[in-house]
Amino acid sequence: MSGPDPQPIAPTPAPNAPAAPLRSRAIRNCCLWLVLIPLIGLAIVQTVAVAMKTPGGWDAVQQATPAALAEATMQTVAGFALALLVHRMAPRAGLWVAIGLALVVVYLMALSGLSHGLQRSLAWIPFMLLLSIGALGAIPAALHDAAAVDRAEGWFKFRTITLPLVLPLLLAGAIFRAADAYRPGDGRVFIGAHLLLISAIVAGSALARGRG
Amino acid sequence: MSPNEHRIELHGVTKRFGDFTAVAPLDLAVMQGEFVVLLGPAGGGKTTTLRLIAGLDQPSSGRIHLDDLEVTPMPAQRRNVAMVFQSPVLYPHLSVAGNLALPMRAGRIPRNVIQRRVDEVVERLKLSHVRRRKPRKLSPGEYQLVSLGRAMVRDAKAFLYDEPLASFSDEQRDHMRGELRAIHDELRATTVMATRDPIDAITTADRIIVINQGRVLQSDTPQAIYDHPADLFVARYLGEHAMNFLEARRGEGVAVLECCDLEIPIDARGAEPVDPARITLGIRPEHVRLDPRGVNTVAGPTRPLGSEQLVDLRLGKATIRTFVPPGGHIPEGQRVLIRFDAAGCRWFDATSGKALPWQTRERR
Repeated sequence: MSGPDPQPIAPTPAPNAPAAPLRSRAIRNCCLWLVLIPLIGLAIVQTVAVAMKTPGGWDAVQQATPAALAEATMQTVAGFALALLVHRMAPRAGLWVAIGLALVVVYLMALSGLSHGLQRSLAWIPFMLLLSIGALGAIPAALHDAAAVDRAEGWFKFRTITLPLVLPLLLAGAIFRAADAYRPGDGRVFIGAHLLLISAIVAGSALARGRG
Repeated sequence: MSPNEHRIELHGVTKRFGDFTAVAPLDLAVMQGEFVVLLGPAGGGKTTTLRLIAGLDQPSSGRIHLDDLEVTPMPAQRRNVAMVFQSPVLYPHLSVAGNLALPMRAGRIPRNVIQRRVDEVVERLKLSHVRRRKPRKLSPGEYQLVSLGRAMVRDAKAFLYDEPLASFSDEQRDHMRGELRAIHDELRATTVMATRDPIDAITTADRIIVINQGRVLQSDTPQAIYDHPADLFVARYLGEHAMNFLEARRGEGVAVLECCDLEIPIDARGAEPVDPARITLGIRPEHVRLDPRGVNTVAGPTRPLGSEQLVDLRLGKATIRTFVPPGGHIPEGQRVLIRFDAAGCRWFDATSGKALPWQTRERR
């Protein structure tokens, strides 16, 4: 007897739909936050306490904070803007283009006659570029399809879909950079270390939320 | 727009991915307010067809029209077509209400209208209790319902459903088939649904298009396709219980079953098989009757189906199935006399697989 055989009909799970039962997910999330909240609190309290105890520590923190925040903000915004550009131009090869771009930027920076401080500050933009391109690439293609069908485009799509989805990772990166910006000259690595811890925790929680 | 006007038209649309042809030249027209189901196995080209209509993929060749306007080069954002994906997609950072509101926010609908429409859809789909929940806190069924709601909430030109019932349990699935049809009847929206499940198709569609390997095999009402399948593939695919197939050869005014040399009188006009020695009789279980004047078979295993039973009967070297009422248990090995309903016999060319327009005459 001829004619193609129909393929067996089997129910398919919805890959994007939550797989774990609601109750077990709630318990897992609850445990996660029970661990994370004390850790974050401890890190902040310890950082402030050490800064207060060290002679001149609080003044140094106050002086370094605006510059560190400005530097981290600049690096984050510049890195993310470059990532958006790369992702738009080469959505499938974004990571490789970003790695290439990062190497070129670092190389040019080394050759340039810029001051050491400015050089170091600009050289971290590729780091934020790579982080941002990773975050943009992690948005499932299905969400982009859904957004297209929902008529979301341009600034509206960026504001309501893209930015909220990459924000946790961007924040983690920004905190990491702010922590690093405290290091030069004043020897207050301890603050950086604690902020690094916070950064890791934020990233961890972002990851956990992503898993749903 | 009059009800008979086409809302969606595909003219010679093809889609190739490298050497693989996902959609062979496809011509398709969906009327205003019609519920059309694309039915076929996985990899048959259903999802690709929906994505081409939505504008998520560009055809390799051919033209697509929506409301008499050619939209082939138009991006999805400009087509105003709502789509429910096979893997339900929700924005993870937005609540259920936020997800429902997003397509209208993108369409710059006034806030009070958005609020009212979201309330209506939440009420209609019984999602009030999860309105403020984030998608990760929804069950798979609720997840797909919200995904459906996001399509319903808009005044779209057409609705495309890609296996929308795949995430539901059997019980929910049955309910949701009715819901989908009710929603369609309420909105009178032009709808194209892709599914692998014949029951989904039969219970919801105005018209079924059976599609396999990117080609349309048959397009007709569910009853017409069930009663008169165009080929062996369609005959096998459609129906809750498999059609019986018996190999036969053509004789003078009769078809002779190979399994038992039983002669069935036929009126073989209209088409000739490629090889007269290779034809196939297709007959659904409900057209195989128990009849004291019938031919001899031996009962095999019985499968209870609740309201009735499906029994295997050995007819010579072949096995066929028929239904018996729940009370009428037939022990295995018992002699059973059966008759084929002439009106239920379908003849196929076993070489090409195509249906033959032959009529079967009652045996005297």
